[in-house]
Amino acid sequence: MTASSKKLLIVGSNFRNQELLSEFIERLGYGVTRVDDLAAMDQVLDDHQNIRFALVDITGFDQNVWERCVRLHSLDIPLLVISPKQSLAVRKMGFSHGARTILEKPLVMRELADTIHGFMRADE
Amino acid sequence: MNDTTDNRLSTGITGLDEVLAGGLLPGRAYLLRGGPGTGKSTLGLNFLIAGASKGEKALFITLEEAETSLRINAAKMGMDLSGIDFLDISPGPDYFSQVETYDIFAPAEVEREPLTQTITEAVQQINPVRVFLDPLTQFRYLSSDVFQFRKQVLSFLRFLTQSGATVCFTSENSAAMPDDDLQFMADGIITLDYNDFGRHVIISKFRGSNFTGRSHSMKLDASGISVYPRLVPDVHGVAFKADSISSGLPELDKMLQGGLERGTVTFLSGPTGVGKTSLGGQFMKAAALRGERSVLFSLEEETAIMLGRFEAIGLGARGAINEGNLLVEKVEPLQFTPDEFVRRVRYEVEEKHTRIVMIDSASGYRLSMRGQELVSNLHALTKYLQRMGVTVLLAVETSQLTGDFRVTDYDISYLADNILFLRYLEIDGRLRKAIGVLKKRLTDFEKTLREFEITSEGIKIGQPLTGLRGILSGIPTWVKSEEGQ
Repeated sequence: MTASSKKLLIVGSNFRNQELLSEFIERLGYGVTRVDDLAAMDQVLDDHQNIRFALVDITGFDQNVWERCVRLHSLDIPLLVISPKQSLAVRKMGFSHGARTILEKPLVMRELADTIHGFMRADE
Repeated sequence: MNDTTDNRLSTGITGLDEVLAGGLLPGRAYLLRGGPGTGKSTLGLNFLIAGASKGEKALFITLEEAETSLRINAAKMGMDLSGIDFLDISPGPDYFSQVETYDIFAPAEVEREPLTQTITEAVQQINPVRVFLDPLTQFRYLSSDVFQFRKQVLSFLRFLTQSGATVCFTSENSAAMPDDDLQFMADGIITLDYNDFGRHVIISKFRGSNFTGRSHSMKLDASGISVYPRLVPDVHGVAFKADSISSGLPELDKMLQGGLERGTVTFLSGPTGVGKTSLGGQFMKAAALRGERSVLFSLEEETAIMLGRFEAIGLGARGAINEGNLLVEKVEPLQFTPDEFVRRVRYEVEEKHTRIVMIDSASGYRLSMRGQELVSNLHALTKYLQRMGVTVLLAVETSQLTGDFRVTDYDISYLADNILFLRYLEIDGRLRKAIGVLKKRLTDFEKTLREFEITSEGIKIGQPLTGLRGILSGIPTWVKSEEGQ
């Protein structure tokens, strides 16, 4: 399986955020698997879909979102956590549950593009 | 520079065009600024309609108020928007109801590109001659910093003007978010203001053109916007001969060495009820007999009462009115701003060829006109009338019936070329009146006072009161040598 056939998993609860993020990633030339709730995320992971790495926006989710982060980590899927604000608690929680990095909103498109390209090429 | 002959674009508001020396210069960008409810959008609509009515392509880009709302408001003012294209990029109800809010990216990154593309496509498709954009300050939220905003706005305005459009754009100015940067970028600045004294429009910048600065009155009502330019007397004037006009009373003419000259301002000074208006009416009666038109602006007394009084003392006002030689007009309190009143007077002088204008009275003018600049407004108005060769009569009321003599209770004496004063006198226990001339700029005048009487047959002026002393005090005494006469 090549890296290019792999997709990015984006997890978030805000419809418009998810829509904008999907469009942005697709404009970069990558496939997107979008889930808007944790049940759908479980389904994707159960199906062993071909996920290269995951962007998880924790806004609007309860503590259960961290269990999913641990699961991603256990599946060797690199994980980037998106946080609504700079928070030491979120950083601690994110890193302790397998996050490679914590991104704060609003994301800067150019920086996000560099990050995504970096992760996708790392697997090639 | 005075280039009123070039192909200027009308704003759709006559008074504003006058202030702008004929209208807006084409291919430029103008800033309309003002707080909420000051009439920016209405002015923009007028600007577009003025073009559309001549077959020009006109485009309204709205980033805030929905097109439907704009159309409803315009219909209420009787505006015809049939030739205007709308580009409505204001947020619709879906933005709220369908949870279209987002925070993953900054609005500047999400909105700017599609917005720019939408506007660009519309401009290229419509190719407008006039564009109104309301408000441009919305772009501020789509810029990551001040530098980006400035560059984007400059580039955007250049795109529109180089496409052949003349652009008017609005700003929402506040202490927290001033629009100084837009003022620098605009080719012209039109500020709309609203305070206790009414609405005003101020032009503070107009690249490549002269303009009439200062504050001009503006009216915004159900029929739309009207602008009343501040009177600049020096730009008006006609050639005229300063010949004397008779009062029709030989005794008074003798006191005045022939009468009052054209193009002069005469104060008719005196306490209440002494006969100032009747005296003015006498001059207007004489003018009517010469076939000249006079207008009496009554700022205190009702027209019907005044006309009845004129009839009762044989001034024959109704006949003069029927012949078009006299107009008596009541000006209601707060009906006009000083600039609106000026427009009314100018119409009478320039369109109806009025030769005598009487303002009754200075205190009524002060109370009736909104604003506080009594002296400067009266100064401008009287100077304008002088330059137009009009004889001005200004009734000036003094607060004291008798006692120490004063021409006026206001600091306006310097405006007078001539001062005629009326006084109550107590002579031998009887209340009588006297008339005198205190000042006459162009000729000599009689230095003695005469008795002044209003009868059913008209005004009577007696012989000089040479036997009395202390007349101006109101309680004169007979000079010794005259006693017993």
